[in-house]
This record gives sequence, structure tokens and C-alpha cells, in this order.
Amino acid sequence: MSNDAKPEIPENVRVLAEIRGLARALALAPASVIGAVERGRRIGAFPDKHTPVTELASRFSADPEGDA
Amino acid sequence: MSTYDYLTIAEAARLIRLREISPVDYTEALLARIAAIDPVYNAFIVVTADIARADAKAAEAEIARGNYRGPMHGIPYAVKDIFDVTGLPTTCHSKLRMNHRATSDASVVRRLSDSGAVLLGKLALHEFANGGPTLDLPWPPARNPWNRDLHPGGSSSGCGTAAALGLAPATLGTDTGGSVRNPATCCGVIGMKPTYGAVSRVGVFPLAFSLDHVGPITRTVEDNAILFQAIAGHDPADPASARRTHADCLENLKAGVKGLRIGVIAHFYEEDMAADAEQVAGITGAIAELRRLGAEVKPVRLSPLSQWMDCGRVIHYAEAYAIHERDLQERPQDFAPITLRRLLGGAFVPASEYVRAQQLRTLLCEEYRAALRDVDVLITLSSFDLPCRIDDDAAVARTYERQCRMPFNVAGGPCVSVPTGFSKSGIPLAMQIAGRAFDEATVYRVAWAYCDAAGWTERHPRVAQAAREPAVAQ
Repeated sequence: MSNDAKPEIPENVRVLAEIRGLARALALAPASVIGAVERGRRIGAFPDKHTPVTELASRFSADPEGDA
Repeated sequence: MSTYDYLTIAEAARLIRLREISPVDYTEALLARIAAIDPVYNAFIVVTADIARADAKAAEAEIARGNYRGPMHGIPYAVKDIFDVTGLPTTCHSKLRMNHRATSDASVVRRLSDSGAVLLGKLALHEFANGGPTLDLPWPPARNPWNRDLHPGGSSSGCGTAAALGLAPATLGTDTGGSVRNPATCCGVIGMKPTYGAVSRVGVFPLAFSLDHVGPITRTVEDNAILFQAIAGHDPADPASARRTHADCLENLKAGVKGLRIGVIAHFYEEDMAADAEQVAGITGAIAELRRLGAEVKPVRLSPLSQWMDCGRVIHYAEAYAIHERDLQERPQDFAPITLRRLLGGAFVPASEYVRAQQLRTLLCEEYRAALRDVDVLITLSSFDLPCRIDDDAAVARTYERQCRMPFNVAGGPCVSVPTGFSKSGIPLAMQIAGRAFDEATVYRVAWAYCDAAGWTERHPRVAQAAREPAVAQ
């Protein structure tokens, strides 16, 4: 399967992919892995006022007042 | 066209109970229709004709003995091929699952079987409910019933296509970021994402466990409510399953909207992202119709759409990657390229982002609940654009960014897509109606009132006939 153009692979992408066990995916589809690294880096544009320090972690429930 | 083609569940159930139609004849008529039409549209991955005939025969005999089980008894249905059915592969539309065989039924399949429903087959989807329409898989993608060149929406594509074409009056899909409501939107039918925890997911291949929902896709709102009631309820085997019961969705279904308060989240499609003019015209007309029917309509503001989308995307990517990590490491060549691209996104999401997304979700859920203290339901658009060409990968990818379905997976409340008309090119338009957790009844009530007044669900696509036979389960 050849599903990607063969771009030059940045060293950080190669290292990250190997750490994550994705060497085969990188060889097969380098553009997809390069794109995934980029998306992972900028995926969460959360509001500035929201920080993990000030918010309590919690368990998700659609209806915490009920018996979910 | 036979008399069975666009029979609603409600009407068929009435006729079956009165023994005016036979479940066997009904099933045979739909199997013949599937054979004639589906090879052009590819809604089915497999047609379970032997199971269907046996189920129908059993239903007919039981009803003849005077043991009528309820409104799904003798009604044909089909499921997205992500639900386990004993003895059949749950392919997830993927090469990776071709040799799978389920050893038990998904809980919802068992519930439908217990209610006497008739399994017609298993339906096409985007690979693992996460890729997109592609020809790189062992089965072709489902086609849009209104124009075969267009995307039918996904990931529960086959459900939308089969429901709209009259191939199955009842279908079940799954919805992690809009995958029930998107095909309903694109195919001009009704798709409900129930409250998180209202319907069991046991025996359903997961995509992202804290966003996954099972939901019905049907041609009418009443049929959707009937199917929802048949599958909803506590299941101790699903850790997310709620112990509480939902209100009866049929009791006040046709009570109208007079006096109900409807909040419109217009900033999602007017400020946060610009939607297609025809989609906006559709929802604007629907709001005017609801006002005419006696509802009190007022604007509602939530956090910007981008915050809901970012929150949902991080959780979705991270949880989906956790599920598929080993196959992505060891068998990347067996995924379709479009699926590989989407799933790999989760490999590089930092754990800190996942934690932040969960914290943000808590705030957004509170915001959602607060908004619904002042109104009974919320209305907003579904897709921002008309369906794109099915073979345009870039346009399909844009489709999934330009929608406002994910907020309701993040919040977990019930949300239904209903048609609001047709574009100049004859393609369905749609909006969403969302409600308080476990208040599917009010959501269905508003949806029924609008659809009854508007009449869009009475239109059917002009269908093409097929030249070859569909696959049949061995």
C-alpha cells in the first residue's frame, strides 16, 4: 500500500514515532505520521482562563444529579 | 414500488398486531427491495436473509398464537456492522476484522431479538466508525440516496442510506462525534443520539468510550421513538449504563409545542463558523414554524464552538488511539489510508491535554445544564455545508470540521437530527434538537411537532435499480 507522498522526515518526528512504536507506520505513510505529530502538538486550544491547577478533576456523567 | 417499501414502524406494527399484514411477507418484500436496489447504493455489508426469514416466521407464528410482544414484533431492522451478532463477523468495515466471528449478541441486538424484531443484515460504515468513505476496503462505501455521487454522511453511512431508501424501517448506528446525526442529516431522515448511558454499548466495537453512544436512525420521529424505547434501559455489563429509566417517549409525543421554551444556539453557525446559506435558510424556516406552532423561542449562548470541538477532539483522538494502538504499530498497512491518518492523530496527544480536555468537559457540561434550566430544548444546525462529493477526500475531511454535532457528545444529552427541507439541488437540509439528560421525550415531542407540520419526511429519493445481487451471509 502506498498512500503517501514521501516527504523528508524531520528527526523529531522519527524519534517520536519510534518511541510510540510506529516505525512501520512511518515507513508506510510518512506524511500521515508527520501530520499526526503536528496535530497532536496543536490539538487543544483551550481557553486561557482554564488551567489544570484551578480546575478539579472529575468523573464524567451526563447527569451527575441523577443515578448515572 | 410495493406497499411495504415506505411503511413506517408505527403503521406496520398496527397492521401486524391486527394480522392484516404478515411479518413473513413484509420481510420478503424488503429482501426483494434490497436485492433490487442495494447493489447501486451499498448500504449493506451483508444481508442475513436466512436469519430474517427464520425471525419473521417465528414472529408470525407467535402472533398467530395470540402472543404479541409489542411494536417491534415482526418489524425488520438492520445494524451498523459494529454490533455483534452471534455467528457473524463484526467487520467494522475493516480488513483487520474479516476473520472475526461474534460469539454473542450485542445487548441491543438481544433486546431487539427479545422484542421479536427481524434482522435483515449489517450495514456499511466508515472503517472502525472513524475513517471516511473510501474504495480501499473490502466493501464499497454506502452512497447518498439523493445523489450517488455525494457523501451519505458517516460514520453510520449504511444506516442513513438504508432508512432513506426504504430498505429497512429501523436501523441502529453509533455516534461518537455525530455519526448517527451526520448520515441522518445527509440522507434526510431522523437520527437520535440518546443520553450517554441510556442505551447499552455492550457488544458494540468502541471508538472512544466516554463519547460513544448507540442511536436509532429511521424515516420518522415516531418510529425513532419506538426503536429507542425498544433498546434503552440499564445494562449492568456496561459501566456507563445509567440505572435510571427514561420517560415514556410515546405518551406525549404528539402533544405539540405550545408553551414549550426553545433556545436557539445561533452563534455556532452565524458567528463561530459561517454556514452554507441554504442550511441557514432551512433552520431559520424551521424556527419560524416552531414559533407558529406556539413555542416560545429565544437565543441561547454557550462557549464558542471551537472550545467544544477541541475538547471533544482531544478525548476522541486519545481514546481511539488507545483502542487501536497495537494494530497501528503492527499492521498499519491493513487500515485504509484515510483511517490511518485519522487514528494516528491520537498517538501524539500529550496526556496533559487529555486531562485538560476532561476538566474542560466538566465546565462545558455544567454550562449545557445551566442553559437547559431556562429552556426545554436547544436547537442548532447539524452540518454547515451540503454533502460533498464522496470521492473528494479533502472536502470530506472539511465536512467533519464544519459541523456542530460534537458539543452534544461532549455534554452527553440527547440530540436528534431532523430534516428542514431540501437545497435547490434536491439534497436534504437539517437541524438538531437537543435536550436535558434522559429527557428524550421532550426532544422527540419537539421533533415530531416540527416534522409533522413541515412534512419533509414524506419525500423519498428516486431510486436506481441494480444489476447484481448483494452479499448474503453464509
